[in-house]
Amino acid sequence: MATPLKKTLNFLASYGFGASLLILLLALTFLGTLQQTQHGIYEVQKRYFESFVVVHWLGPLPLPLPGAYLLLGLLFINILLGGIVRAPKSWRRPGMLIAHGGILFMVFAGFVTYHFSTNGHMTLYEGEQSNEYQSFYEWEIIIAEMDGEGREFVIPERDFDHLRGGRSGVFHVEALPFELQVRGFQRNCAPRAAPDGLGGAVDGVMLAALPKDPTAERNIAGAYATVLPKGGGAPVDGVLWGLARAPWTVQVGGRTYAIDLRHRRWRVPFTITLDRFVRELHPRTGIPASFMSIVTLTQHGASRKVEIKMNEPLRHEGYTFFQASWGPQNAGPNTPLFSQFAVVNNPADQWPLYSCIVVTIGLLIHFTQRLLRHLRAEQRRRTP
Amino acid sequence: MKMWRHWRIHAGMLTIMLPLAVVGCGSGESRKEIREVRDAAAGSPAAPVGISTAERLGLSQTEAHPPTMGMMGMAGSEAAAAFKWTTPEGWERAPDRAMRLATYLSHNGTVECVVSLLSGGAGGVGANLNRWRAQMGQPPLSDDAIAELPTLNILGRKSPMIDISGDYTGMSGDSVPGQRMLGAVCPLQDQVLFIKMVGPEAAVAAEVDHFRAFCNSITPGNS
Repeated sequence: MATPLKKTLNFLASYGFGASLLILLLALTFLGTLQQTQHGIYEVQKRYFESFVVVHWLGPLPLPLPGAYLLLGLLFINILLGGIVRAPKSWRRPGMLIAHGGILFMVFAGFVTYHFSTNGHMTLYEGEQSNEYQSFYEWEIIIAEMDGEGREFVIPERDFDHLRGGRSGVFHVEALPFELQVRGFQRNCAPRAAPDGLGGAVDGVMLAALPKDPTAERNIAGAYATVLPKGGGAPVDGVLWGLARAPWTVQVGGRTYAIDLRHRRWRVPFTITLDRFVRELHPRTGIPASFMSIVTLTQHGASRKVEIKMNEPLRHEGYTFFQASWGPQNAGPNTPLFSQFAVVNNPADQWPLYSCIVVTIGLLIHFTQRLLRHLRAEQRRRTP
Repeated sequence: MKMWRHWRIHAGMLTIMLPLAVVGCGSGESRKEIREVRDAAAGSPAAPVGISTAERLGLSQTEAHPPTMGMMGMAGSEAAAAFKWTTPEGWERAPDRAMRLATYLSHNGTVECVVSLLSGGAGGVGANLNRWRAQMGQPPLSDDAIAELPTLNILGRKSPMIDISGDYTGMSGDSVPGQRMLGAVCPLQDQVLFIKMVGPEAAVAAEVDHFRAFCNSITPGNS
């Protein structure tokens, strides 16, 4: 009699379970794609494809569904158990094993990309240089020492994203003479003059919630913050907003600190200088026919010139710089231009390509063997 | 009883769900150590000290401190300098937003007027006018009907204007009844300039003359 463990393993490795997962993934892709028209790609990706559970609304009826993250995790287990561990291993059919291994590698590449990749943009005017890129969507709160060692203490969005409604969080580090309390985080908001006597407003300013824009990069986040001096001084309230003209500055213990809410930034271990941006427009239109950036990459004192064109990115030290955009769009002949690079740091950047190659090899071996077997059988059949 | 036969499953589910419920319902204050520290980026601008919260957040009219460079705002502020206009009485400029040259609010913020500029043909004048009509729940107009729309003189060009009442469905997807939209589309050589006002019907009715005057006042920034 089969033990419960064996029954569970049999179920997880079964064709039926695998087929159910694929059908659910298909349904999720279909429903998520439809939702993109209303909620935008970023929001839908978070809700449908990066989640364990999603509630899809069929009119007024809620339909709970497993999210793509959960489904792909289960699919990995299904293929691992059914396609590799339990599959008959024989030199007669290595193709299927190789192909299943390739699919597993593809799912694993998705896992690594989701958890370990970063992407954003670096925007430079001609002559400018930078060694950091910033996210299109994610936010961070930084506390910068203005007259100290020039350090920045960074609170990533994942640490304060949940501080909405009545929730608040206190962030601390030994090197700072104060703690920072954050509350009332909003994904899309704008500062407004607060009505007299409104609780929670700071210096007569409140953050008014705005509906989330389907184009995620248009949403401007905001939060309320309070500096709590460790020595017991009076707390200082402030408002943080993603499009503020300047950071919020506070003085604690005779030193000045700048606190800012801004798009998440990451450093690259080299410097990119935009030497020249070249664009060609279709005649009598503002539509670009082609554009490219000539940049200087500097690292460890050595420099080299690189051309970054559409479909010809710069790849260096695990970072990929794509030519993404440029501006100002209404630039005249002598207007300085800026170039925008989409920057991706993904350890699994090329893994989907490798996995496709592995799957192709596996299928080629499998179908070649099948063909040869078929031909041999035909030959035997015709031989009297 | 039958339902207690599977007590192990019930116990397992409770074990998973209870901690989730406790975490999910929490509304207190959490504490977390800041673990990420980095050197300030080379060339980071100095933060001005001692300005008010309103000034810092762009609610004040002072231009003592230039706006920080937003992701899309950089192109927007450059583009905004390409035009000048006269702001009607009672209109207040709202903080700059991505993809817009300017946003004005009137009637306690219930009426919004947006100026935006898109490069190229932006899909065509007719398509954009019909997109606006769709936002107000109205059927599209034929090319002949669009050609017969009243026009405004914007930057020396005949610019079709629409005036629609209905239920407005904006970017949020929510439908707001009893709204009125005034819109003008000015096709330029390589770009298209859009001016759109939306708000409650009665409030927009009081702004029709202001809207026309605003559109007529737009001139090139270097004039």
